[in-house]
Amino acid sequence: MKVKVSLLGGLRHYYNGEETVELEVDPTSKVEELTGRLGIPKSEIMQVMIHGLRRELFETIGDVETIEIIPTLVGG
Amino acid sequence: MSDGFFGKLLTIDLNTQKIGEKYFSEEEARKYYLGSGLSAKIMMEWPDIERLDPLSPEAPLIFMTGLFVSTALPASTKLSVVAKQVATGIWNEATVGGHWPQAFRSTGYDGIVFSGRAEKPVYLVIDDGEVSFRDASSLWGLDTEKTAEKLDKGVGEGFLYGIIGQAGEKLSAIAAIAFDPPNYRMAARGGIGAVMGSKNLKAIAVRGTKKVPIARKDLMSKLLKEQAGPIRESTKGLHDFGTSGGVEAVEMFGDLPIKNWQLGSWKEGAKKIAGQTMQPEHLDHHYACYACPIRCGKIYKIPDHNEIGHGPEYENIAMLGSNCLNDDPEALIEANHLCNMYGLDAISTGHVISFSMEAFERGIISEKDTGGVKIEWGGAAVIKMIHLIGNREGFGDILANGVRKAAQIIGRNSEELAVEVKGLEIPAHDPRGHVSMSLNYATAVRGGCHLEGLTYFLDRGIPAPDLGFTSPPDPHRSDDKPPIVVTMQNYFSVFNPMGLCKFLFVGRVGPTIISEWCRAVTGWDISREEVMKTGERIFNLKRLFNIRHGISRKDDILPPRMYSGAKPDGKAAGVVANLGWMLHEYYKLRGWSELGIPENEKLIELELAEFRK
Repeated sequence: MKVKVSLLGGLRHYYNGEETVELEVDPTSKVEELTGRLGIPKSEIMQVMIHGLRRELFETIGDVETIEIIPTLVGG
Repeated sequence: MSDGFFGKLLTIDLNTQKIGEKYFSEEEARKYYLGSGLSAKIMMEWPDIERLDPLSPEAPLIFMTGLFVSTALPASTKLSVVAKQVATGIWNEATVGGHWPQAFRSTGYDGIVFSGRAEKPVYLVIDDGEVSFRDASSLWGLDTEKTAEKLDKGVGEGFLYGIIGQAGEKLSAIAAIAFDPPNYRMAARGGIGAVMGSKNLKAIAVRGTKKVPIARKDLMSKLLKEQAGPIRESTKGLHDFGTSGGVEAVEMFGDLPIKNWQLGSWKEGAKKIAGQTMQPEHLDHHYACYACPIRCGKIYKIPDHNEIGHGPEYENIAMLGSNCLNDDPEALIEANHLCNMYGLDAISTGHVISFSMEAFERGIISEKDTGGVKIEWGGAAVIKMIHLIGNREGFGDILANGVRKAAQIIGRNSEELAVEVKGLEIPAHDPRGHVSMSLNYATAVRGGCHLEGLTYFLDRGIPAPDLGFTSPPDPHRSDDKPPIVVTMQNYFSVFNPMGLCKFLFVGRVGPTIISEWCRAVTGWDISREEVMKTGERIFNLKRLFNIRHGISRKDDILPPRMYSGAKPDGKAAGVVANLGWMLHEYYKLRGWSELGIPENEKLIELELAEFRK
């Protein structure tokens, strides 16, 4: 299935510079497989929101249309 | 000498150039650690401390390494430079990493305590325990970079320097001390460079070969083997882009100061000055402080200068960039470099400039006041103003006093635009984006300081199970924040005394790990609880220092813009902290009176009763 993934707060730099990317995703795969594909270190992810609900990295993605990835990056 | 420290401080009276030694006991080291902890005890015992002007010859200036500095422990690199804060006379500790602290400790001393004022400018050379004064007349008036170049020719190879620039010489209340140029690490806050300048001390050059004795090398090796990898892994983001990698995330959370703290959102601007955008074009190489696996420093090529310098950190990007509506990367890199060269605190410098920009826009000041300078938003005026502030020329002379005094001089309600707590300009984390920072800023010992609590780390999802924090708090609620702030302040109060970088928190280092490290270095049978209790003791001791200087609840406040002015847009729109209620709860948790003064029972519990007055 095709999923629209939003890479917020600077996380786009880990992928291709685009804030929103459309990816082919297996709905039975885990959230961390997706973030791994995007090259985002786990330590830089504060939370993943799927249709407005928080999901853990070890959870299955499921049948969804949009995913938001929110960073922990803190400044200094 | 005990395991973990030399037990020896260098004492230098600059009036007479008399050099001596002062010893401290193992009991003192365990009770306060080193760094700003032992320094707090020395400051409290200093004769007539509350009577002394921060820039008077009699006032102290202390350089003290943390307990773990020069060991192999990760990110154990911090030096505390302690004195009275220049703008107000209250507590000040300015902290710096890099390589100077390790080089200094290799001379066989844990710290230096200065008093007096040299008759003429001098610099100090400490060569493996041999101490000498040199004439600094030919260095006076030079920036930190040129001073380092001259020192290279004068003192021999392998020395590292701590240097003041023109700002420190001219006693600016926002002057810093620059270490290790051209890489530049700064002990920046509270006008610490001016205290050095007031003593006619231009620089301190150090090198050494002495090793800190380690109690249990076997335990140290075991811990390093287990812990270095996970620390490196969980701080990978900091390594890749440094603190500047957080600019866009900070903006997204409504935490970024924009246009002198007036706006809530500046997405396109933040993109232009984020480390991820600037780094590909400007990075020369990555940089690590001594013994640091994180390697968050970035050395940039400085445009138009044909030289390298430290790339702007997050704080500097925000204060010299977004808060001045400066979205020009080259102007930002230049501004940051100029602060390092003049020896200026980039946080305070950025704020006095954004303050003057808003005052200019509102017509509170005009070209008549500024000597014809149009202080308009953007990079060009930032650079122009740094030159004027660094040299204390024209209107820059007023801003060099720091924002509190500058607003008092200007008057005309300009105090409304000044964003400081206890006279110290607040750094680039908006207390409306993270309500816990409101309580942190209001109660931090040195005033507008983010480093004493760093509670926004928790809001961003960095877990600290060893402190009882496993999921991110709601950043905009007030009701759960007092216990969080107390715990975080107590914990972070051991970092400077231990010499540890606070990014170890991002690396998931909690008090249990620190107690293990302490066991390895000193051989003490020390628990997690003892580490936390020592943190609480040190925080309270510094509070007592401030109370001696007239500080109480009346000073635990926020500036008008933060207390009653909500942001108009962005994620933190409409948020204002319930500070009065939070303070009430906070004092109760701390065992302080309603006036914010530690109760006798608390002082007895913390073994601080001797400092009661």
